[in-house]
Formats: sequence, structure tokens, C-alpha cells
Amino acid sequence: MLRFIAHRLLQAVPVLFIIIAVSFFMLRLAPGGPFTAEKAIPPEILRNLEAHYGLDKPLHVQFFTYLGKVVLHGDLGPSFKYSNRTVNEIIADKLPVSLELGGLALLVALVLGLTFGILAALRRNTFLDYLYSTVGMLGICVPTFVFGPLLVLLFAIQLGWVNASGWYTWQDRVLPALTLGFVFSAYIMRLTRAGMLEVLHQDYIRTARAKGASEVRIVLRHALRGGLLPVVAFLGPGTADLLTGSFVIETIFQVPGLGREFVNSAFNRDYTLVLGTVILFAVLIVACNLVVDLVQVWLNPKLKFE
Amino acid sequence: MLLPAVPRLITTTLAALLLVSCAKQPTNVERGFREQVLHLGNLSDPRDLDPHHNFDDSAFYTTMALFEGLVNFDPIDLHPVPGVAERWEVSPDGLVWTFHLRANARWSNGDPVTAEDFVFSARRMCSAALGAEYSYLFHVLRGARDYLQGRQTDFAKVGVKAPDAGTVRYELEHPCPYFLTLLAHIAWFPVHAPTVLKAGRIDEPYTGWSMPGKLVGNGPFALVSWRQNQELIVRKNPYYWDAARVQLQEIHYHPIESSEVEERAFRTGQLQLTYDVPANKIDLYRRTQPTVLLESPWYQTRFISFNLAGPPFNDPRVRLAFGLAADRTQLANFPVPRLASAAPSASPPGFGYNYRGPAAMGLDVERARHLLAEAGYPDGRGFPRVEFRFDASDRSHDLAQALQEMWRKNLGVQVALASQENRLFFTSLNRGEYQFALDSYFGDYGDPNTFLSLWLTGAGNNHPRYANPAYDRLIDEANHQLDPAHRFALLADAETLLLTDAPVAPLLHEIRFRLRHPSVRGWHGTLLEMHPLQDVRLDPP
Repeated sequence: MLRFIAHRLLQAVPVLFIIIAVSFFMLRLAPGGPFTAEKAIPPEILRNLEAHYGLDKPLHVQFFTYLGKVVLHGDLGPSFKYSNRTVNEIIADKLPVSLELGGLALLVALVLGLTFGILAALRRNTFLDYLYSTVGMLGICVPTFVFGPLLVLLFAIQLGWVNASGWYTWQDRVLPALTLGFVFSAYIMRLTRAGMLEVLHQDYIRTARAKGASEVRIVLRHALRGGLLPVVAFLGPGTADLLTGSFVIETIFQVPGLGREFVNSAFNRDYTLVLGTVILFAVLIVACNLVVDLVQVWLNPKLKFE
Repeated sequence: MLLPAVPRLITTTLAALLLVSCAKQPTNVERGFREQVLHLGNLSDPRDLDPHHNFDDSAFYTTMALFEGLVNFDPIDLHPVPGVAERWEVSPDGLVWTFHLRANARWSNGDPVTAEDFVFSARRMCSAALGAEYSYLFHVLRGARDYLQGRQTDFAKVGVKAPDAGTVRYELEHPCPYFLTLLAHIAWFPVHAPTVLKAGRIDEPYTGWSMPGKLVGNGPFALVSWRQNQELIVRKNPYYWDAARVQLQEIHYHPIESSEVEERAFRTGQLQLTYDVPANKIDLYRRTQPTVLLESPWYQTRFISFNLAGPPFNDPRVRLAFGLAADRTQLANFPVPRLASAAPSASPPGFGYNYRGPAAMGLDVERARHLLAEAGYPDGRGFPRVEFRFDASDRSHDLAQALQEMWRKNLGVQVALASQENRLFFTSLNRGEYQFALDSYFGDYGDPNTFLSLWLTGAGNNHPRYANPAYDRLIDEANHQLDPAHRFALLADAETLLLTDAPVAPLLHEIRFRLRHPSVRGWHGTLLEMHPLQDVRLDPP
């Protein structure tokens, strides 16, 4: 297993290098720079600003300087938009927010998705199954930028239970986590239902029944382990996606998370902030996929570390 | 059985959760008038709080709270009123301005504000290495342009002096009737020399001196905290010379990019003032809550910039035809009535003794068709394929579509539309890589010169690359003119010439919309979107 992990980590090195290189050069090829604005900056001023950030040097020199700083010191450089902050500071401030929102949403998604997925599978082709499947389908189809404002309209504006937006008290966490979690729960529900249906017809379930195991024990102990495999495969990239923040949710609910920084940094041509978040996301996705692989081997005795 | 109980468990938990949160807390608005705390939407976070390193719209609001120049704006009509300077005089030739500082002006750490601070600040702004985006506002100072562009290295030769701690003297390149409104611009605000120098050299950009815990300002408010993308908080500065007049205890700036999100926050009492209003809600507010909707004209012009470098727009007749075929009244009321006002001239009305540009551009289909035929395209026949560029905002998209239809109907010309992401769009305009485009400009200071100097030969924002020595001469002559009436006559002549050559075709002056809670007093819509905060207070409605 250690060999497997070491092997996968080694594989990650060229992957990350390619991601950094491609993002770096694509970003630089995009017209307009961090100092392009509605009102043009006088040339003598622009030259000085560019010199301050080393943008006047040849592109490949800039690339290797950047790469060196990232690899040797973990230094992601100064932000172009927030002149007095470094990308490391911004990530340190914003990542915990995205992690909190993502974690809560994941919790919502798992609780709702697994419960209703299992129930739908057990009550296959009944009214309940159709109801859960319909709601699940809605969850997949209705975009968050519709679902979120609808929740705000009901719970914040009509009922006045929570604030429309902001990230100050725990009440402010409820609507964003529900919105983000609901969409993911729909996927998880459908995957759980499909996985469970497949497993419930297997011989070993019949064996368990024959041995007189209780229904709860059959579902939770025997069926779930196999039925969860598709869900786990989905959770790898899904978790990375949830944890790194959602631009839409963060915008709708005014959450100071990393997703907003990422998207806005591209509009702002904040080169270092774009690269910093891309590197972070890449590392997270690589890590989540690795964890998923480990969990899958643990869940499925047929798989081996090869 | 355990399983069927689970959904009920979840529903109960969720219901309980929502019930707990139901314990009503007072909203920001309700707390606001008790504690005098203003919550306002501010679009986005400023790049920096350093007044010399500010370029974004949103930075103006925060900077005006934290710093103060020699001269302030009146909160209603923006006429210059005393700020750090309690009085001033100008020499008969209009070239030397002397300002007398008030003795009780202090920095937020208690230090007195001195004339040396203003000399230091001017020197900092004029150092090219600092990279101050608004440094061109200093070109009016004698020798400043040479110093900025490195032709002169001795700052003593630049026209700013401090004869004593209480007196600042500026010497100008040319008489500048709008000098006082320039001084109220944040670029002319002073910075605290010891604080700046503690963090780095005078001309070193982004040293972090303007961050919470370090920033020392001289404005009515002092910086408390700043969490990016969440909230920037300022609190009343007890050292401010006019602190007795300041009613607000705190201001919270919320960077909310989406006007929809902002409007919902306003409706739940989280904000007293918004930055913008969603266009599709404007009519609703007009009908249902007209007192909440603040509509104010803006010192801004939307115009078409034509690229003079190639056909077909190197022919002034074609440019004029396109300009005359646009129905400005219809544009101003599309898609919502009264979103803007029609602009017959390039500089908006409102400043400088009510200078009005010549009413040169209006709908004249007859003449437009005639000009197009004269240029060789009768009824649009044989007109080459042209592409009209605009930025990615919804507003620009609406306008571009309306214009496309007007040109098709009135001129018989098919125009292709091309929307571009903002930075891409500005880059195309700056590099002259476009045929014609939906351009706009908002005034930096309260004088028509801020618009008319755009089209001087070689000017930085001269997107059409218009070069007419006669135009340059008229503007220059106007700027050496002391008599306001004569000066405006010269500016009007220049503008008439501009609109005859038609490198640009003015279309609209936009209107700014905000939502303002009735408890907010003393905050007015102003032409330059500057909002002095000294008189703002919150009363129970």
C-alpha cells in the first residue's frame, strides 16, 4: 500500500508541472493585463508597475522564477489586485471559509443523499421511490443560482428567519450549505439507489437473509458496502469541488470564500492569484482521488493495490 | 423499524434548526439608527487604501472616509468648500495658489497635518517609480510632468512649496479654473510621511503601510478592519478637526458584486445603501417605493468611438451618418424608461457655471442617409462588413442591439456585433484594434476639460487616435483663459469642431441608481459620485 501511495505521489509531480505550465502561459497569452482598466494608465507609470512585479522580464524567466519560488519556498507571490496581500495570505484567509461551507454541504449531501437513496432502493417502484427520484432529478436540473435565491426569498425575505446573505453567525451558514448540499445530495441519491439496487440482488445478500440477519443489519452491514462504490468514485472529484468553494453559491450568499477569489482573479488578470488557486485545486483533486482509490480498495475486496 | 424514522428525523432536525434561527434579531438598519452605524454596498474591494494608489470606483468611497484634502466637496452640488485648508488665495494671473492650513487639522494618531505633508505627498505622486495611476492629474503643476517623465530630477523645481508649516503654495503650468475641484480628488490627498517611510521608500509601491493596524489618515474616519470580500470597517476619528460635526460612529463597506444579491440584502435590512439597482427592478421601485429609489445624473458620457485608421470610418461623412442615425431618446429609454438622458454633446451638463456643449448630435435620418450616399453608399449599398465592439455588461449588450437595429433601419447597413470581456475590450480600444465601439468615460473632476482633453493629440484615452491641431489649439487657448465665459466659449468651439469631425458620436449620459433607506440623511446623489460623509446621519424613519 505504501508503494502504491508513493507511486501515485510521484505520478502527481508531472501532472502538477503540466497544470502550472499550461495555466501560466495561457494566462499570459490572454490580452489585457492586471493594470488594464477603463482609463488607460500613462506609459511611464505602467512601465514602473510592471517592473515592480517583474513583468518586464522575458516570459520564460518569469515562469522559472515563479516555479522556483513555489517549489522551494511555497511562495505563491504577491497578488496583483490586492496589492498589499500575498496569495498565501489570501488562501490562508479564504480556504477555511470554503472548507467550512464545503464540509457542511458535504454533510447535508451525504445525509440526504444516502438516506433517500437507500430508502428509494428498498421501496423500489413505489410512490416513495418516485417521489425521491423526482426530487432528486429536480435537484440535478435546477441550477443553484435559481434554487439559492428561491430559498432566500422564502426564508430570508418572506419569513425573516435568516439573513439574505453574509457570513457572520451560524445562521448565515444554513442556506448556503443547504443549497450547495442539495444539488450534491441529488447525485448521491441517484448513485446510491442504483448501487444498492444492484447489490440487493446479489447472492450474498440472500445468504445473509437466509442466516436470519435483521433487515437493518443486511442493509447497513452487507449491502451498503458494495452499494456505495459508485458514490465513493463520485465523491473524489466531488469533494474537491465542494471544498474548494463554489463561485455561484459564494456570490449569491456573499460568502468570503476561495471560489469567488478564483473566478474574479481571472477577470482581474491577477496572475499569481489565478495560479495559486489553480495549484491548490490541482493538489486537492490529486489528494481526493488518492483517498478515493484507497477507500475503494478497502470497500471492495476484489480490488488490490497494483 | 429504524429506517422509515430517518426521514422524519431529518425533517424534524431541519425544522428545529430553522426555528432556532427564527429568534428575531434586530437588523442592521434597526441597529443603525440607534448606534449610527451605516452599512453600504460597495461593489468590490479597493485595490489599496493608499490614496495615491487608487483606481477603482469603490476605492473613492473608502478613501474619502479615511483621508481629506485641502479642499472638500459640498455634499449636495460638489462646489469646493474648505477642508484641511481654512482659506486660500490665488494670484491675479491664476498661476499661484496659496493655501492656509487650519491649526487643528490632525492625523488619526494625533500628529498635526502640516504643509510639509502636502509637499511630501506631491513628491510621492510625481515619482514615476510609485506607479500612481492618477499621476496625470498633477501635470497641471509647474514642472511636474518633466519630473514624472524623468526629464527633470530635482523636485525643488516642481511648483509646490511649504513656506511655513501652515502654508502650501502651488505654482501651475497654466491658469486652471478647476484647480479647486482637482484638489478634492483623492490623488491630491496627503499621506502621513512617517508611516509611509517606516514601511519603505517614498516611491516604493505596495509596502503595506495602508493596511489595518498601520494606516494613519486625516479623514473623518479611521480604519478598523478589512476582511477581503466580506467587510471593511471604519470608525469615527476623534482627532478629525471637525469631529463634532460627524454623526456616524461606524461605516461598514460591503463588497457585493451582484446587484441582485445587494437588493436582497437591502430588503432584509442588512444594508442602508446599495451601490446599484438591478435594471429589471427599477420600474418596480419607481411604482411601489419611489422614496427608496435614488436616481441621480452622473458626470458620464457613452459614445461611439470610431477607429480613424482604416475604411470605412476614415471618412467623416460615414462617421457622422452613423452618429446621426442613432435615436438617442429611444436609447435612453431602453429597455426601461429613463435609464439615461440623451447626449447631444460629449461633455455632460452640470459643472462649470453650467457649461453646455453644442447640441450638435441628434437624430437626423434624412441627413444621415444623404451623407452615407455622398460617401458612396446610397441606401447602404456596397457598405463593407463592419463590426461593432462593446464590453460584456448587460447594459452595453442592450444598447448595441438597439443601435444595430437603428443602423439597419435608418441607413440600410448590416452591422455585426461583438461583445468582449472587459479587459479584452479595453485592450482592443487602447491598441486601436477595432472598427467602432461603444465607449464611455466618467469625469475625474468637475470641469468639461476632463472630457474634452480626452481627444487631444496623443492623449492616453484617445481611442479614435484623433489628431487635429486646431482642436488642440482651442483647448490650450481655453486653458490659458481666466475669464470663465470666454473660456467656455472656446471650449464650446472646440467641441463643435470635434462633433463636426466626429471621431466620436456622443449617445447618452447615464443615470446612477441606488436604494437608500429612509433613515439615511445627508447622503445625496452627486454628479461625480463623490459622497462626503461629514453630514451623513441615521434617523428613525
